[in-house]
Amino acid sequence: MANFTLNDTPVSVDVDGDTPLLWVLRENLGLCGTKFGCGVGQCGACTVHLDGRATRACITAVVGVEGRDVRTIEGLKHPVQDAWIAEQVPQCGYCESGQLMAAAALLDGHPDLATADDATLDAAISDQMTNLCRCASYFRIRKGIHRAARVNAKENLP
Amino acid sequence: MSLSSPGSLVNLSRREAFKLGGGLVLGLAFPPSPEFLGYGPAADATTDWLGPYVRVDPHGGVILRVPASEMGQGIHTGLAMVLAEELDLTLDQVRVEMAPNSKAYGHPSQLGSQQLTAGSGSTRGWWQPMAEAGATARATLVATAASRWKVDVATCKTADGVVTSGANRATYGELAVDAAAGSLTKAAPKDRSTWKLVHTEPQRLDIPSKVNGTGVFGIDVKTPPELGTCLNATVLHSPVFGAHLESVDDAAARKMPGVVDVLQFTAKKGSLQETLDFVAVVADTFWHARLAAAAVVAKWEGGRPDLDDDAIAKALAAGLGVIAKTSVVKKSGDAKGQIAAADKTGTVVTATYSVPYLHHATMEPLCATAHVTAEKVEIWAPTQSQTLTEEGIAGCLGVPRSSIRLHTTLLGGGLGRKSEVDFVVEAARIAEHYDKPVKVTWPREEDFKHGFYRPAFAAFMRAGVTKAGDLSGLSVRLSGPNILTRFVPKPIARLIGGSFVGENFYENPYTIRDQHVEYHELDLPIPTGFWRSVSASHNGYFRECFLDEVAHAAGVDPVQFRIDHLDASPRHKALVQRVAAMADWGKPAADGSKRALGIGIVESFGSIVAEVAQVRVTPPAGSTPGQVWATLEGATLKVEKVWIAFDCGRYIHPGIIRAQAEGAMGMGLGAALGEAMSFSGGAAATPNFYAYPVLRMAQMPDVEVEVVEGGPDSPGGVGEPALPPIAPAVCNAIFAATGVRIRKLPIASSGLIV
Repeated sequence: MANFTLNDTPVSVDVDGDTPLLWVLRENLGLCGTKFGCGVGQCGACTVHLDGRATRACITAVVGVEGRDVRTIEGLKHPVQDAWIAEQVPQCGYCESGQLMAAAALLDGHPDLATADDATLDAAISDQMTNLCRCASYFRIRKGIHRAARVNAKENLP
Repeated sequence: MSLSSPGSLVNLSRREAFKLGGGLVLGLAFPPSPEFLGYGPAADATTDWLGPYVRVDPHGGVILRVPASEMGQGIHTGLAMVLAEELDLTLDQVRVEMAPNSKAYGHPSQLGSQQLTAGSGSTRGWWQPMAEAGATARATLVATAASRWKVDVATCKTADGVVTSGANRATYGELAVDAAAGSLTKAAPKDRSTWKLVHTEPQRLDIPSKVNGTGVFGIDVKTPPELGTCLNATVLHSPVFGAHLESVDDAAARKMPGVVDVLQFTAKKGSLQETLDFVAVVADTFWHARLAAAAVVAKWEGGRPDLDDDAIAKALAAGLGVIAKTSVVKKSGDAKGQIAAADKTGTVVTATYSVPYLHHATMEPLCATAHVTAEKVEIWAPTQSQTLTEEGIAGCLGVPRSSIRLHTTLLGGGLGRKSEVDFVVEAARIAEHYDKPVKVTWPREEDFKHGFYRPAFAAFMRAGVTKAGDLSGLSVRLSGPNILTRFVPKPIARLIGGSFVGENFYENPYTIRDQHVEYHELDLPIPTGFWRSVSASHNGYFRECFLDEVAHAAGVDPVQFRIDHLDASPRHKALVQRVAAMADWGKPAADGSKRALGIGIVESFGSIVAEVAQVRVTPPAGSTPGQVWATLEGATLKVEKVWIAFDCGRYIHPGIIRAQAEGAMGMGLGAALGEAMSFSGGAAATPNFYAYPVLRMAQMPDVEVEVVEGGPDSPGGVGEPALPPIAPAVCNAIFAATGVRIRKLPIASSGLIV
């Protein structure tokens, strides 16, 4: 039995502890916003937040999230989503949940980026955004993160 | 668990029939509702259709049934704009749903009338039919209103879904039932001078569902509960191409948790395309099926275990030297004579180029869900290819085509791989064994092992340059597999293969009086298929890099050299000039330093795209190469910026075109930098993304795109044409930076760190 908090709601699932969180979310809990891409932690389509940090759910055994806080795209409400719409980022959209979770974690985990200069933010994006997008919508993902970062900056004003 | 099952996302509103123009009623039931695609609530099922594409909802809004699959190219939004334009609607009054499989939705002008989303052909094919459908629907609503009010139709006006005439006013919804009951009033589409929506950039209709996780891709399908609990399966194919299944030891797998069965299938050809021998592991969940599949010991026999990267390289090279089997695909003037003359009095430029096999690697792995009963076969799949799927299932299962209902989901990338139907037909073959639905999901490793790869190709090219610096003859010999041999008999494939695999040489925009193009067809046991931009993806690289070499030998600037040879192709010439202006070609950087720029221009799928790349090559620490580098080994490449000028003729949504240009260029850049399938022991030796470096965020350059309408008043393709020019633009820029030519892709094989 695995017990954790999913999108602010406590859940318990009767499943083998070795089962990857990805498949527990998709198959046992029916939340299909988190995607399967490679199964080996390479592509990032399965990115979720584990205690606020971007985590690849396909290589995270559910036993490892016991008692912890998991957030998926279904539970995300973040300026990156508005920015994605404003910049018209998605193409096929399959990697999008993972990209959004990664982008949200990047900005939330580094509040200083909101007021950093463009070059610093760009360097952080190149370094931290390792999710693959086969449509290569990276140019707009970058623009979306810039836009969301500036929204965060405004929200952080005293 | 404390979460209740979210239930079915699939709302299957069962329409018994829908009405086609002319009163023909076809028994096409069970189309996926708009909710299925995550676009909006399901439409009222009681209303009728104004032709095959349009239905006015009595409760408001208009439903557009789009025959083309949405795989990121934005076709659902583009065609909704065309409809809204003609029907005087705002875009948010249009709800899109994916058309079911039907001959009524075959491509109107290309692709053998198949319902197939490929060849950058959807806007080209569907714009006019959609515009006519919208104009006819509007005229029918107006005629209905005029008749109800007993006024002349000429007094009626339409705006934002409302018909008015004097004090009379009716919404389209209020007219819907009467309009559908009467006959259609045919009307011609508007003149482009009156367009209000086309050429603007409204937000895409599919994006909201893609940023909140509700969009339903093939892998996310939840079948209706009344069909029973959906089983999950995964598949195993022979690692070695062409081998057959000899035996299976599934004793251990059968004992594993959740396993329902392990099934063996022999190859079966249901249509043009075949399914191979395969093993299916069926379980309650995919994860259980995946674990059990790892415990299956399958023995495969046959194939060509001697096939590896070396053998492929040797075959390609041998193909360049074999004249007997070589066929001439284009001959004008006397290229050989001119080159021989240039050898005496001028310069001959000679080069051999090559590209590797490439994989589609769509982000969504191959998957499909099937439910097979005695009466019908119901399929949910992310497919580009409704007609071939229907044919393949009918052939393999021995069922009538009319019994097959295909629900096309959103595609997590298509790129050509999902125009193949193997993965969907396999799902139907597995589901035949059960009375419940079965979802089949391929692990990424199976996807890499069983691709329909972009074929490896090589080109041997020679050109004469006169003493005066003029290009005096071009000779090209191409060597590589011919994809068409999969679909048509080999002699016919050879006959038409030259213009297909010889694309961009066969139709060469440059004025070169003396040309000789030959193609040697290579027969290798590696499956090949249509990879985004197909033949243009290699020939664009060969031609545009080689012409750069010729320009250099002639002592002419590469942009000027192209302009000098494009008098007969004014659209190309204008595009070269445009992209050069965008990139400030020939001008130094703001700090006065020299910039390394390269250009490529390639026509494909009815559009022309010119790209300029700016690169920076940084030598390894401690070394200071001169103007011409001895080696690129250990140096670092950064593609800093790409300018794109895109001439696709008449267009709908410039924002979507820019997005497609950025993305296709990026995909082509990833391929140019690092992608290559590797083979050993007769099998693919590239198992997953860690061995196949598609483009990453850190490699993506800044991009600037201009959409140019330079052609006739007809649309060109959008999804693919921006891919081919990037490889030559970057390689030519690397030459500008280092004096070293990249004649073999990927660029990383030169030792450059990408």
